[in-house]
Amino acid sequence: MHDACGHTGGCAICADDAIAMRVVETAPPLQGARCVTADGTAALVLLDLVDAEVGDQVLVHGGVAIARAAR
Amino acid sequence: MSAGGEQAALERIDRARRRPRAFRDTHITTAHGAGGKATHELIERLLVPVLGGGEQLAALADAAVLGVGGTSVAMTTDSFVVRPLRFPGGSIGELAVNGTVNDLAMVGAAPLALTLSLVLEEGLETEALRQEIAAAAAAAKSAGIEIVAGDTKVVGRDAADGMYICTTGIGILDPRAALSPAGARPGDRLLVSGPIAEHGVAVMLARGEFELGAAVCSDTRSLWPAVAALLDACPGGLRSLRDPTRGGVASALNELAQASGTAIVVQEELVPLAPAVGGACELLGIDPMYVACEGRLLAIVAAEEAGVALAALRSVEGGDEAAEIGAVEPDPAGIVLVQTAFGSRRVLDMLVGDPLPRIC
Amino acid sequence: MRFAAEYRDGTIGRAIARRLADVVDPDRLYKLMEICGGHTHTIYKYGIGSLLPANVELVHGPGCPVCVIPMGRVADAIAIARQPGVILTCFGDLLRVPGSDGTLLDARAAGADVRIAYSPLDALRIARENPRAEVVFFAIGFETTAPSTALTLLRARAEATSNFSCFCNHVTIGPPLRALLDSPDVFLDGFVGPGHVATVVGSAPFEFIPAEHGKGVVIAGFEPIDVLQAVLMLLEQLRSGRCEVEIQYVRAVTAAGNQRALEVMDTVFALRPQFEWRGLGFIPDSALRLADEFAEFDAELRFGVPGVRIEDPKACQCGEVLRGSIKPWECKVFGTACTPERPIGTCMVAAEGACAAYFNYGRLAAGARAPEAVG
Repeated sequence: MHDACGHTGGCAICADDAIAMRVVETAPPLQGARCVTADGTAALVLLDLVDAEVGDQVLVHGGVAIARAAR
Repeated sequence: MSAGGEQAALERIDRARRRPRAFRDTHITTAHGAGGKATHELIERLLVPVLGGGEQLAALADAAVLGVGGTSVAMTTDSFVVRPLRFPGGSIGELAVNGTVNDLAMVGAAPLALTLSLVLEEGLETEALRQEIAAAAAAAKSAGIEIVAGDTKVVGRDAADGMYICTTGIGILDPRAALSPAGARPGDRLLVSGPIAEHGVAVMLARGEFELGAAVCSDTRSLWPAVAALLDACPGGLRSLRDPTRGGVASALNELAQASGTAIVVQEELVPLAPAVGGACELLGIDPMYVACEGRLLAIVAAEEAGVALAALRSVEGGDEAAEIGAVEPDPAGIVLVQTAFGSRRVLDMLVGDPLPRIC
Repeated sequence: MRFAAEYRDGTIGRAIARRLADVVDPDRLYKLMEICGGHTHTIYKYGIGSLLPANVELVHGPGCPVCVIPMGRVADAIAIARQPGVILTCFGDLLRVPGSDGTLLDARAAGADVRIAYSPLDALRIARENPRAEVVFFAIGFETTAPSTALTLLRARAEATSNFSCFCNHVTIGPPLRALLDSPDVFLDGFVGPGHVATVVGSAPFEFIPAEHGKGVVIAGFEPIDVLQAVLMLLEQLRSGRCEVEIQYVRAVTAAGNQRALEVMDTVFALRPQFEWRGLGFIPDSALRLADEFAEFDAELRFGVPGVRIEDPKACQCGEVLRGSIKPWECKVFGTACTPERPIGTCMVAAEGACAAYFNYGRLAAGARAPEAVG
């Protein structure tokens, strides 16, 4: 229904969505680190706001990890 | 505050959905090209009336069927403006042939011939053009259709994003086909020939606008083998066919529900979706039900023929994940509903806006 | 974060629905406000309304960052987009929000370069790839999204990307809730709190709600089971006479929130003295602008914007919908003059706007509302 956001899928930002992803590679500050969803889709995510290592699960919103799951 | 008040409001929504409106937009926007509500308004409120509103046009089928000296000939036209020109699983040349063949197939016509009209951008590399023509030739051979005529125009830089391809296709109607967008009846079953949303996601990822890594290929292919298999297996019980291109499965089903005045209920869990495609859609915040396919069909079949129809779809190359995904109910008329895995129902509306521009 | 499947399990959902029926007092009406657009979406997508007892009502509050953008700010963005050499980037839902003179989509159709960004980092990448253009990011969102913009600006500064700027419309969650609770025509029994905002800000900013207004808050996740559990926790608070902030979404939310995110926001942003919220009027200390140290990236300083206040159309009742005073279908223009294809107000534009969600899903929720669970 809404441009670029599909219809019922909604806009991830406007809906305050966040996705669980797993860290595959870390990166220097303010650089995107490679993370994957459970389905294996990869994206570059900024990890600057969490203490995350390779293998950690993080919650991602707007290209940024806002929380890390307990190990 | 009262239930009566809410009921009145729901009726207002129904009337709003059905109300015919004059076409009032002053400019064309990308929404008009998305295959959803805006596209339908453009076609139904501006194009069809100005063109005289004849029966063929007004039927809004994928192809027109004309009687020519005792033979039923199907005729269709299509244009391809996909960007980028090449993407995993295909390219514009292949898309142009398969897309045209599929429009003919959806009305039950075996592909016969097509024309290829090229609008080329000044500065396009000749090698790129050669590749696309070769792709079109290969796709035509594979689909059993002959490219019989064409045209070439060149426009200035930046006017055609490399190239646009426009086609006209003709086919011979299979005498067993009795298909109509209005064909669905309560009790019928809904089938899909394979996993959805692959083409749209493949093209979006190929644009490189997202730093997403996912191995998704376009599903572009000729659907005539699948249609021929269905006509062999259950000609009498085959009601409607639709290929969910722009606007995705949701928009195609809405077209069928509205044309037939029935409700179509989709079982969400049964819709085949590749994990990589679902993952990419989730990251992008896009519902896969609105994302285009270019090599899948939706079929409405009589209940007693559903098993045979499904076997027919699975017998065709690329059809191993064909599935029965829903059913037709008498009401609410003209509405598509999703039965969620959670056990509830919700409305699946036609697309509004343009989530994925220039994907076909 | 893990185990999404179990948080979508219909059997568990129906079991919670049965417990809800046990917990309510059949002789009273419960009105619970869910603040967050994501919760609105989940509720409709999974038909949560049909699983609640008939006397429990969920009301949509002002948690959709697109819904609350006033028309004047959209007009400002369009003014920026129309300037030569500008590429305006924004989230998809913003394209269809009406300003005084059309939408950003209309501006694009008329020749402005307006592109969709899926995150602020996307917008920064567009700036890097188009060094001769001026790329402006139309930033919206609550505290969930503000850290993303903040990190993007830090990176822009570190990389000296001078052709990038931000039109900042970030808002904070606390002040509109205060404004809402201070207004007379609001009758609510509790709040389903915004799970991802709270991931950043923690549960502490919501403490004023029980402390000063005597209403409970349960901070919820976004799967259907999360929302049902949160409703159950709220009803149990009401039954036992408790009134407190609880966290249902323990997978992601802590009392203190994400300190680093809060620090980064503190570095990059400053509070505006006031900001206009559609339907809620001017609210003090409710929105962010770029801090003085980041003025070079502030689009409002780089470009002239009209900054005009545009009245909402007279027929628009978005404010009352956002406050929870009326339901979407009670708005006089709902479904007639205001539809998703021709929205008057932003509640109908955004995918998670209360009116858009109701227009598309509401008929089934209304039809199926019953004390016993569906299926």
